[in-house]
Parts: sequence; C-alpha cells; structure tokens
Amino acid sequence: MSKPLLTVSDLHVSFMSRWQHEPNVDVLRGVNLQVRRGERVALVGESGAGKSLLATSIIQLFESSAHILKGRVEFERQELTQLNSKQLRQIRGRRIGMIFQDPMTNLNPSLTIEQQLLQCILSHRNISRKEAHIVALHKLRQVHIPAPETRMQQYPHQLSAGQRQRATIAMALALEPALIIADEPTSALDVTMQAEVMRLLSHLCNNNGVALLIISHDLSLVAHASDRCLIMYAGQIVEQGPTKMLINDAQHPYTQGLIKALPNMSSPGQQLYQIPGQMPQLQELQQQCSFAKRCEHAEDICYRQAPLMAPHGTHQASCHILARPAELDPDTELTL
Amino acid sequence: MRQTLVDISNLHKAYSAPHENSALWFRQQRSHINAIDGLDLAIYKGETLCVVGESGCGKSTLARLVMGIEQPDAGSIGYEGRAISHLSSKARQAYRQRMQIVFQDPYTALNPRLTVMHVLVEPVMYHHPQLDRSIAIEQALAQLAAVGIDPSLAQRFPHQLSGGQRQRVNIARALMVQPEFVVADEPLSALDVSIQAQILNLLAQLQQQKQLTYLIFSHNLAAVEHMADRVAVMYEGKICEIASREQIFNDPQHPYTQALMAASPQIHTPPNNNHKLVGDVPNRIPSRLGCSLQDRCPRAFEACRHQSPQLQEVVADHQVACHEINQGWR
Repeated sequence: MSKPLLTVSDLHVSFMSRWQHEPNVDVLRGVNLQVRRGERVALVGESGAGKSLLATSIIQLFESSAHILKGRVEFERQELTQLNSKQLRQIRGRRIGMIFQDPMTNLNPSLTIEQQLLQCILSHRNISRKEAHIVALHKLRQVHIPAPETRMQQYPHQLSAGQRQRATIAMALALEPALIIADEPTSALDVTMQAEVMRLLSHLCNNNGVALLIISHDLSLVAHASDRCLIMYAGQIVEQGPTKMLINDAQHPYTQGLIKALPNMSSPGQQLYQIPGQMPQLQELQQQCSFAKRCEHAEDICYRQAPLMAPHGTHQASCHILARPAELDPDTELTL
Repeated sequence: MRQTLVDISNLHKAYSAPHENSALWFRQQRSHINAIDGLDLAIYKGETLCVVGESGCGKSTLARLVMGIEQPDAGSIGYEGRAISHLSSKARQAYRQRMQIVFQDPYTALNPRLTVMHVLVEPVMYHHPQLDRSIAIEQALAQLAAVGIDPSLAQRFPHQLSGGQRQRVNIARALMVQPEFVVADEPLSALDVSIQAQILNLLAQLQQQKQLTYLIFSHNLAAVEHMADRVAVMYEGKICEIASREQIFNDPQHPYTQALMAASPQIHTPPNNNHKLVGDVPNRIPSRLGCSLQDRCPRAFEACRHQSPQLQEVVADHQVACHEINQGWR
C-alpha cells in the first residue's frame, strides 16, 4: 500500500490558560490519523470534541493560545510541526486546501469573487494575471457555478449560500492541492444544497485524486460520502474504520449512541435514544476513559485507566469493555 | 372532530428590496419580493404541524406573521375563529400569552446580560403584573426542572450554558406563561445530533403533559418524520404539498417534495439522484407567471409556465399544488 499522504501521530494540543493558577487545557490528547492519496476520510463528533482544532492543528492555523505539546504531523514527507511560518504558507492553500463552515465569513465581503480567486492563485503561482483569470474561470466551471463570467465580477453577498460555498470550494481547488480539509462544509446550507455540495466534493476527489478530510457532526451526512470514518470524543479518536463497516457494526458505546440518536433510527412518535449527560470538562480527564461517565457499560477499570485503540470486529475501537466481550451480557448489547 | 386552532387564509407579505442590477443607491428601483404569496394553512388543536422548505422560502416570515411580530399585507390569521392579524397591540395582548415562540438560534435568543432566572420570570411579570415575584420564581424553578435543567443553574448567564441547555431555557421561557400554541422556528438546526435527540424528546414529552399544539419549522426531514402529525412543504411563499406524515413520507407527490426527500441524508440508504432538482433557489422574480418551481422542475411542461397551480386534494387530507398531478397526468 502507498505511503499515506498525511500522517498525524500522537498529537497533543493544549490551550494555555490566561491565569497562572489555572492549568492548561489539553484539548487533543494523542490523536492518530492517516489520510492516503485520493481517500475521503470523515471525522465525526460532537461540538467541543476537538474536530476543528485537529483540522487547524494540521496546518497550524489555530489561535496563539493553542500550542502543540508533542506529536508529529507528516505531510508529503515533510514534518509540518517543525516548519516556520514562511514555509507553512507554502503548504497552506497550495498543498492543503481548506473549506470552512460558513462561506459568508470565509469570503472577504469587500472583494469580488475574481479578486479573491486571483489573490489566492497569484500569491502561490508565478503566472500572469490573464492566465490566472483563465484558471479561476475554469475552477468556477468545475464547481458548476452558473454563468461564471458574471459571478466572478460579483461580491459574495450577491451570491446565494450554495453558490458562495461552491466559490470557496473553487478557491480551495484553485492551486490543485493534494488534500482538502472541509470543516462542516454544509452546516450553513439547506438539505438540497447540502446534497449538492457533498456530491460535488466526492466527485472532485474522484476525478482529481484529491484527498478529502471532512469534518461533521452528522454521521448520516458522511455515511455515503467517505471511505473511512473516525469518531472523535473529548480530544481522542474512539473508533475508526471503513465507513460502511463502522456504521453497520459500530463497536464503541459512543458511536452506537450517536447512531441510535438519529431520528430516523426509531419509529415515529417513539422516544429517541439519547446519550446521557454531556461532554466532560477536559481538565478532569487524565487517567480514565473519557466516555466512562456517560457509558452504560462502564466498570471500575474505565475510571482507572485510559483504553487503547485495538482491533474489534471489522475495525478499531478504544474501549475496555470490548476487550472482554465474553463478560458483556448479550441482552444489554446494543443492536442496530 | 378536529378543531381548528389557527386558520391562515390567503396570506400575503412582501418586502421591498433593491433591484438586483442597480448599482447606485439614489437611482435604485425598489422591487417587491413576495415572501409569503397567498398561503393557506390550518393548524388543528393538539397536533404537531411541521413546515419544511429551503431557506428563503418564507418559513421564518410565516412564523413571525403567525406570532404577530409582523403584520401581513393581505389575508388573515384566525385564532379559534377570531381574526387576530390586524388587532391593535392592546387587543392582541390576550393572545400573546396563549401563543409563544422558540427561536432558531439559542445563542442569540437569550439576552446575554440576564440570568436564566431573570429571563424566565420576566414574561410572567409582564403578563401578570400583580403577581408576587416569589411565586414567579417558584414557577420558574419548577419549569426549569420540567425541561431537565438543574435549578442550581438558574443564576447563570447564557454564556455559561451549553447549546443544548440554552435551547432548553428557551423552551422553558416559552412555556412560562402557560401557552397552548407553540411556534418553533428551526429549533434543532444550531444543535449537535446527540443534543437534537434530547430536545426532540423534550418537545414530545411537554406536548403530552400540557396538550400543546406545535407549529414547527425545520429543514431536517429526519426530525420532522419523527415528530410531525402533519407535514406542509413550502416553496417560495406557498404551500406546495400538505399531508399526514405517513402520506408525505411514503408517497410524496410534488416534484419538490420528492427532491427534498431524496436530498435528505440517510445513514443506511445511499442518496438517490433520480429526483434531483436543477439549479439554485432562484431569486424571486416578482409577478412572474406560472409555477414557482418551473425552472428547477425536471417535469415542467407548458401549463407550468402560464398558470400557477392551486392546492388540490389527491386523496383525503393530502393536497398537492402541481399541474401534472392535478390534471391527472400521472
């Protein structure tokens, strides 16, 4: 198998506290992630799980209070954590494209679409304005923006939400990056536009061989738009595997909860499954399973020791209880 | 027999907007956008009516009109048989207490300077100025417990609560004055999937306890399928299909409804591309002839360009506004 395009290993990122007496908050606690060329990887979890921080940590686009404690981020045989800001700028946009959640705040409201696309192309490539214009037009066509010549001269507020998000996708694609990170690319969009944008992203990846890292809180959204899926909880990956297998054969109690909480998983009118409690304060989690407090199956060991990622069923999960399946009462086992 | 609680007939609301291609503000031609364009809807007592549609279709405008936050240009809204849409502010007062709204974004719907307790007590004191404040505080604590918030959080400010807790506070506030009719404008869209389940359960449980009538606006079809009794599909300020939940999810008739269903992500079934709509949500073209979906509909034909279709019953309690269906071509 080919060498992964992006390898994140044992990444710890922490927010420095503003006050001396407060401890630093470790938000990412040992994250491992691999993305191969042309692969579509989904990262799913609740808000506060550290999904966006992981995405921004890869290209070190986080706020100044965050810093990488330890761990490696290897991308195209380069160690990104060792680069200075000038070298990082060569990677951001050019090799790793980024699509953010809200296209309205992602685009500059005072520049036309063309100005923004050209700015992005010309700052990385040594070509004339005319050539850059042709590239920009071509990219807008690729993302199916109707009448791209007119749209290029317009400002972001003159475009519909779907078109705006497509313009940001065009911008992410403009420099033909090897990897695109899409952070909740559709949460500001309607259902029909959401389907359209997901289809477009998948299609572009297949055709151009671009790898995609999609971040979402909605498992049903990425279920058919990703090859591999990672479930994130409280700064750690708790389960990972090929998307189909992970959904049909979820192992970790948290993943099972996420799937069961979907409204279309139970018949209308019935009470929905809800995961009890809420995400813990990250300071509290040192030597225990981060999900222990909300887990129906939690035992003593879950509060004493953090579980490790190990193969279970068709893929990998980190859970103490799964390590001893014989003790699990078949009646309490969650069936999907 | 079903009792009609709210009866909306031939409702119109237009906003004026600058003409798209006029660059200079002083030469601007103003044109009108018909946010609500001849809408008819009846809401029965005790039911959950969900209205689905894309953004820009007029969902929020309808919510605001029903609540009396804005006045309609034409048409009327009746509440228990009495027209309330053009009442004076004072005459409306009695109705304000009976209908309440839960807004979309729990982050902006709460005043950041007021504590949870203050937010809850205020509407009670407004509607019952003679009431002893301590009684209102007691009611607020009971209401917090009812929506599943620990009463010890009552002195917190909104920024100290999580998104799910904030939405619960919003629901609690709406229920403080004992309404019988609750409008919720996209109550789930700002929340995580796991929190959505909690709020859906809470809404269902409160409805059972207090015999509430819900009018819920949403674009989350999975949630709608879970909670609705009836579903109305809205497109460009009109209802294009309305039916019971079973009817609409098992046998959607209108091309737009079919496209919505096909676009909704399902965890176990791959997306269906057969019912794809072409193009974007159009900018409203005022006073254009014909069906508003004509440019995006894969099945549009001659009649769709000339005449706008009216809601007609296909089977009992299932109404569709589509020429193709109404003329019996399909």
